[in-house]
Amino acid sequence: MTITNEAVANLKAGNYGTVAHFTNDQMAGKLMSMGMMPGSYVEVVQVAPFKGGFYLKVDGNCIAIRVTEAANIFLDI
Amino acid sequence: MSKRAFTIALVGNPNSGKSSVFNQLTGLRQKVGNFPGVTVDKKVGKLKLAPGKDAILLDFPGTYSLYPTSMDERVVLDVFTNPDDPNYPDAVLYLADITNLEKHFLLLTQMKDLGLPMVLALNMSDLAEKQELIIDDQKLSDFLKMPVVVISGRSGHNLENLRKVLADIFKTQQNKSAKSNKQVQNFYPFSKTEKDVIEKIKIQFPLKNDYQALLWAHHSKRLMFMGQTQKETIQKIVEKTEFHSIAKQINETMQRFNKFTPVLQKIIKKPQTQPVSITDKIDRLVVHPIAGPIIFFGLMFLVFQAIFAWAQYPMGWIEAGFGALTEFTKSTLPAGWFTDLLTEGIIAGLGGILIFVPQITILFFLIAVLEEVGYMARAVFMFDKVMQKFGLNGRSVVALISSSACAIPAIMSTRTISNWKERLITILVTPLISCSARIPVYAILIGFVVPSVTVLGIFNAQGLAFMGLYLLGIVAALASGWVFKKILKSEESSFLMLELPQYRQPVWKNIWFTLKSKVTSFVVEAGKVIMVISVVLWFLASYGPTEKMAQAEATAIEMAKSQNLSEDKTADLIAGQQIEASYAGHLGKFIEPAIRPLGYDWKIGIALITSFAAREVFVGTMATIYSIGSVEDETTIRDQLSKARNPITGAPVYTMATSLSLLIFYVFALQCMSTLAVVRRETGSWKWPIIQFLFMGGLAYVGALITFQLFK
Repeated sequence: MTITNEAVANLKAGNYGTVAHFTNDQMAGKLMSMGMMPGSYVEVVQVAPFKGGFYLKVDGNCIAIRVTEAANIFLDI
Repeated sequence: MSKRAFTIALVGNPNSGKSSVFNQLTGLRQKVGNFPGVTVDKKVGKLKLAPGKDAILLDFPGTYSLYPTSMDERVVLDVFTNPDDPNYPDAVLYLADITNLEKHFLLLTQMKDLGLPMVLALNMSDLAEKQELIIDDQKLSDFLKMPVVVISGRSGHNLENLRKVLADIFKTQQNKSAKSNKQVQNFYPFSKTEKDVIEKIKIQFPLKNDYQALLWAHHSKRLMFMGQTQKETIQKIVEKTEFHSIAKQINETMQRFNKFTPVLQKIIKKPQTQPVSITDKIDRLVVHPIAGPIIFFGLMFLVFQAIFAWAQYPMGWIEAGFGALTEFTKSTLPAGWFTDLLTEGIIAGLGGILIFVPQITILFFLIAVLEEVGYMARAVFMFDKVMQKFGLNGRSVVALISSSACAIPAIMSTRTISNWKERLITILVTPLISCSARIPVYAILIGFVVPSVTVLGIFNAQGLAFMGLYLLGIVAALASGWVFKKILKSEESSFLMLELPQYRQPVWKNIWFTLKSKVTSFVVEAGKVIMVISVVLWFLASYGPTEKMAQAEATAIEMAKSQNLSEDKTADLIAGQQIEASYAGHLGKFIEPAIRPLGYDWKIGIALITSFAAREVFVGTMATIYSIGSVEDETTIRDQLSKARNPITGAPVYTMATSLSLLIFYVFALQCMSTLAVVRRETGSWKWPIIQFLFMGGLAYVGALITFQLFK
């Protein structure tokens, strides 16, 4: 099984992986304060129509983010 | 300065159950206010620690860290980095959700480094039991070097114990002479650059705590209490030491997590297999791309129905009650200006305030339930993108929908929108949605222009016209939102990172407190303004130059005698003649040149002025002007209006063009003093209500002008 690196913005409901890195420091700061760290286990629970929003489960916590934020989170899948 | 009461800050992440704990600890002894300069709720309550020993419990907004991204979070930072702040606490009660401890520890360890005496309360012991979590609170207490108490804000479990721990802290602090932020061992070890910056800041300023100094270095630009020169001094230090805020912030966050995560894993024992939670099951349906919006609009329909239909009954009682009170006062007190002031100014104003209470109560009850249960966050998730396009927030949907019943509770409900720009736009455009007060105006005028015929087999033409006006309001609201989004500048970067809390049963006590504070704040704060405007409007409509008023009455009596009118009709005639002679009548005539291009005469002008109190007053004023005040019947009023002729040309006043123009005017114009009063309260100054009044007025004027000129 190969490990690929993918932005959360490109994922679909049901996809999951662990956080590899963030590409925007400011957003990283905020996401980390909500408990999303490099290495956190992330599952995409639901994507609102037209990528309106991403409903993620991060180490058991549910959070919602926009596609702009999702584009900055890269997962190892 | 008198010695201040011992103040304990209640701090924690959003969704840690702070309001439950706050309500449990303080009960009825609480007050809701604002933090200075911002509309962030500040809840203060009296906390009984021991007989004769009271402390103040101050509830801070939910926060994830001392690196703020919203106004709520900034308030916390501002208070905790300023030892001179009147809200600066003597101790901290930190609340964390026991079922999800890790993410609460970032802010916890940050607060710890501020050096204040601290207690950790682990909330939701009831859920922990259900999930079979086992936690070693003694070990945790040793690790953090602070007392740890396991409680439940819902059931009240172990709160007495928490009280005792707080009382102990109170006692130790009282025995210490000065408030000493003595430097304790920091949880987070500073790097070399950080130490450097801290040292330099502490040389310049009398700060006792190192972490406070570090936070100054990070946030000096945006700390509200700091003066310009102080900011510049700190900026210079930051530049000289090559201190890179964001990189340092990320490093600090990582280090803190790295330090507490392994310890927590040893202290908490979770069962191996986690069953699929109820929340997951519910959310499969509730945020489903198709089912989700259907459920949402179903719920909103219920909310709308509730404000619209259920509130009718209590509103009817209030109206009847005030009617009876007016009658009673008029018949008991001697006739004169004082009685008039009392009945038509003050009692009418009071009635005008209280009439909104049922709608506010019902809306906030339903919103509070949806919020408590955890549903609101899901609605935001679903509608965020659509609303973004119009400068609004996912939460704005609720305000827009409820404003079709009444804009007052809708505007008050925007407090939960954390982005200031999005909240402001929501407040500004909300009154464009047609509210229930417009219905009587629409009803009379539509009856004029649109025949009651059936169109396309099933639709009533008047019904379609009604719907058209509502749609026009919605389009105007969204379009204005889009325009405001382009115009308004905001420093706050707009992003959405929202926790979707676990579904829970609502705590009725919390809902009760929310309702109580919302209703009181409306009645007291907005009520004051409504009362003043009501008295002013009464004065304008009942007084005029003395001579002219007397003359008007004499003419009316003469006319009545010659026409042999009944007592009621004579009174109506006098009222009609007098309102013409009143200051409002003069104002109506004064503005006539300005409203003539819209197709209005001075009589309509008077009604426009008086209906500023509330739109539905339009109908009543028209009845008074046409001397049919004692008849409260739509058809009669409509008949009278259709008979009205221009005294010079003899052409009918209420042509189709005039009526259409009036309809458009009422769709757009902010003819509601209560809305202005509430906007003033929610935005903190008169600036925004005035801007709102002018932009809606401009829209109304231009819209009505175009309509009249097209159909003339």
